[in-house]
Amino acid sequence: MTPDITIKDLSVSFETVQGTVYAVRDLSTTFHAGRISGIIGESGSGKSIMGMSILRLLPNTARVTGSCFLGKDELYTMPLKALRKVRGGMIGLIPQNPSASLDPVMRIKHQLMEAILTHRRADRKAAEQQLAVLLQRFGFDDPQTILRQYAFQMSGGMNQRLVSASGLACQPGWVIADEPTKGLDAILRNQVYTVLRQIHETYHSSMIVITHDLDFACRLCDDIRVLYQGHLIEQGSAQEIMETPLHPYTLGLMNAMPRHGMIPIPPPDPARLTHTGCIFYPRCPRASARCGQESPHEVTLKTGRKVRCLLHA
Amino acid sequence: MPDILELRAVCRTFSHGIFHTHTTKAVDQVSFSLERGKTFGLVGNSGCGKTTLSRLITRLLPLTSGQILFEGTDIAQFDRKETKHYHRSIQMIFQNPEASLDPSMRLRDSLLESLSLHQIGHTREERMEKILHMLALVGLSEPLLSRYPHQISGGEAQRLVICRALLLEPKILLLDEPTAMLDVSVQASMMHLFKSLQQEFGLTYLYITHDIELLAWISDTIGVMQQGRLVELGSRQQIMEAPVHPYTRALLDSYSHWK
Amino acid sequence: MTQRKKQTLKLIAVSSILALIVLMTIFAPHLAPYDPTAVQMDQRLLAPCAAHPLGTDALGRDVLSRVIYGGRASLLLAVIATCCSMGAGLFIGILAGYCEGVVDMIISGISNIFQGLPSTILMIALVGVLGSSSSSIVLALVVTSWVGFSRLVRGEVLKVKQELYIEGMRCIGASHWHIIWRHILPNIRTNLIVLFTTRVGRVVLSVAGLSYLGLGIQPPTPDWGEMISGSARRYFRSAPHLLWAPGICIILLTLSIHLLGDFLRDWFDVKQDLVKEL
Repeated sequence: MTPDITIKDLSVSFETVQGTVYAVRDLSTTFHAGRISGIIGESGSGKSIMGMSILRLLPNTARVTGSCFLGKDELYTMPLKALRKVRGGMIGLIPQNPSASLDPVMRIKHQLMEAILTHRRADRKAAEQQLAVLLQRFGFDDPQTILRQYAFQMSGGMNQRLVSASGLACQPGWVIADEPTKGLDAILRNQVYTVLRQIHETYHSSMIVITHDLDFACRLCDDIRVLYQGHLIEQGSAQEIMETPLHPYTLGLMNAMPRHGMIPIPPPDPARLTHTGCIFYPRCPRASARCGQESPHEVTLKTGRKVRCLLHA
Repeated sequence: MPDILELRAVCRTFSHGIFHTHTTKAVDQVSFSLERGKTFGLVGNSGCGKTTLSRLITRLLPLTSGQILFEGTDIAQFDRKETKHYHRSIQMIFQNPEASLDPSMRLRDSLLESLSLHQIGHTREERMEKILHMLALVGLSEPLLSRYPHQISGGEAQRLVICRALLLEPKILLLDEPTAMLDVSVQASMMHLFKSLQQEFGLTYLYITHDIELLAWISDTIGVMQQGRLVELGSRQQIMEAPVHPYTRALLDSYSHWK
Repeated sequence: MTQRKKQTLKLIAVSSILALIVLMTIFAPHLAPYDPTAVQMDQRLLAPCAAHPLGTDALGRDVLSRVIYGGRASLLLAVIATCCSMGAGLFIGILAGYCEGVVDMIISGISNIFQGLPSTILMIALVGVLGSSSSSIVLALVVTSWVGFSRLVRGEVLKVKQELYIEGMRCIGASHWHIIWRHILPNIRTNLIVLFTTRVGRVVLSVAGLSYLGLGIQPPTPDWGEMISGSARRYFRSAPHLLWAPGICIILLTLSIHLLGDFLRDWFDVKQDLVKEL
């Protein structure tokens, strides 16, 4: 049985010349096993930092406070040796840039074998067979040819599938996909969608998908979390978020998409920048004077949705 | 009056291999023309040759065969002075705004430089006045100018690059995936900016992207490229509502999935 | 922040050692207690004492004064030679990197040949043939070290040339000269500074090596390398103090220059990283 991932009061900050900068602040949420959870946010929202913090793959300069549980195990304080078992063994990662994540001078076979043999003491023969089955599942009809090739001989879509395959080689219960559609055109994006769907259906993997792509998230995910400047501002099922976005920022994101009329979210109002209230206050079209003074708490609605906005408090 | 820019059977091949024996046709017999004050959208997936085409138009690459006519004259026949004029008339906006600014230069100097290169304005004060005027039009403020490119956001950088381009009073803007690196909310405001600037200055746009939805919003004419060839060309309505070529249909389909 | 502070402290320590040595050589006439070339045959090979804190050498010259003066010639030569080879390397490297094609092929071929030649032997041969004057030493140093600069510059130019802002400059019709001077040079500047410092250190060693072999700076001009070679042969056992002072000076000088180069490189890197995280 795959355990849930629970994050409690996570804050990640960086010391810079300008002082402490928070990438993620006071974030608590639970990712339920068996579901595809999406994390949506624009650049600087801290979505990748939050995702990577689960695997403790943050730069050394990051200061992390809070805790993260995989079932009963606390990941942030876990000894490194145990953590290595979690990485790849229990939580697999599909990194951001698939073509850059494969070693260009190593044949595909050795890279994928590495992924399997790091966690299992299987003999090479058995591992090779397992690999062939895995690749067939990912839609490579002739695994033997693929295995002999190098990463640069393959298209971006194929590399994406290969990287996904290596992340899933040990059949981890959880998969974290970091920006799987970044910079892809519509046709490749469809391919990625199919691959992730397949993974979910074949392995019953639970997933965390980090993305800026609203369309993609709404179609793929069961539930969605929206991040803005390191704060979790809205959480609910994909359908609910898509049909009735509650937070003005989520609504703004939806309306900014080409098919919804490309209505921009206004830039920050300079007069509102020096405030202490809601983080979205400087850009919020529906803000009241109260929003500038009071920081909203997370509210759970009757339907189970969570939102951090005074409009719904 | 001739069209502002016309491409006639433009080809560009690249040869590779040790003895240059293999050739790839990156751009193959592409012909279309830009109508003054209108937006021509060029759509195609990665590797279809649309970026090569933009490099051909800006003369970063020579043509293998074919002609590009600017206001009725072949650009290959331009002398030095005319070339400079052409470079000034056609400005390019790249996908990655931050990389289009010299990291070692303050933004103010980047802007002043392009003005002095084309001898626009006589004194620094005159040039600064022009810059501030244009800066307001693209929605930026003066304090930004003393920063370096890495100190501003992607949206601001793209606005600044547009400001730099407009300072040269161009006739055509070549937009190569100008919003691909930007967030959705920023993309929306950029698209509105493009539309308002077009009205203000009567600019002609060549908008290159892989996102046909954006073209549906901004362009008057759409050309579809596949593997170096222009496979379909028509008005926005024709392409969006009654596509003929199977590839265009596939492109539109891959979007309609999401609805 | 703390790591950056540590870095800064180290940088200050290293550069103050270097500054001390450089100042010592510049103000040598004011600092040295005796004339470094004054021979006093009645005070040969004195052990360190109150009048001569570092003793005297085989000709009765004051070792302290000679040590203070000893860095002058080699440092000056090293800086001149490195400047010249940087100039040559910059010119050739930019030519190769910016023009590419046939020019690049020819230049790269020539620099490969130069890199293949054993530099110390080439240097000895050149100085041997031309005679050991300052100009021939500089020439020998430049001939053996311009390749290091030109290769780095070529690589950097090739890299920077690909950047969008250079392409953008070409799009708006900037001249090649303008692009090189205003955009390429400023962007390879940091790497050049780092390479320059490490190279100066290496050239100081080369000069010392040449002097040790009797081909470098000629007596009676005081020079650390020459001081070591002059006394190492005969007085290694009987008067080891003659070797220590110049030896320590050479080590301190080259080490501090090298460390400075390393720190400069790290320092520029750190700056870039901090920017990225934001």
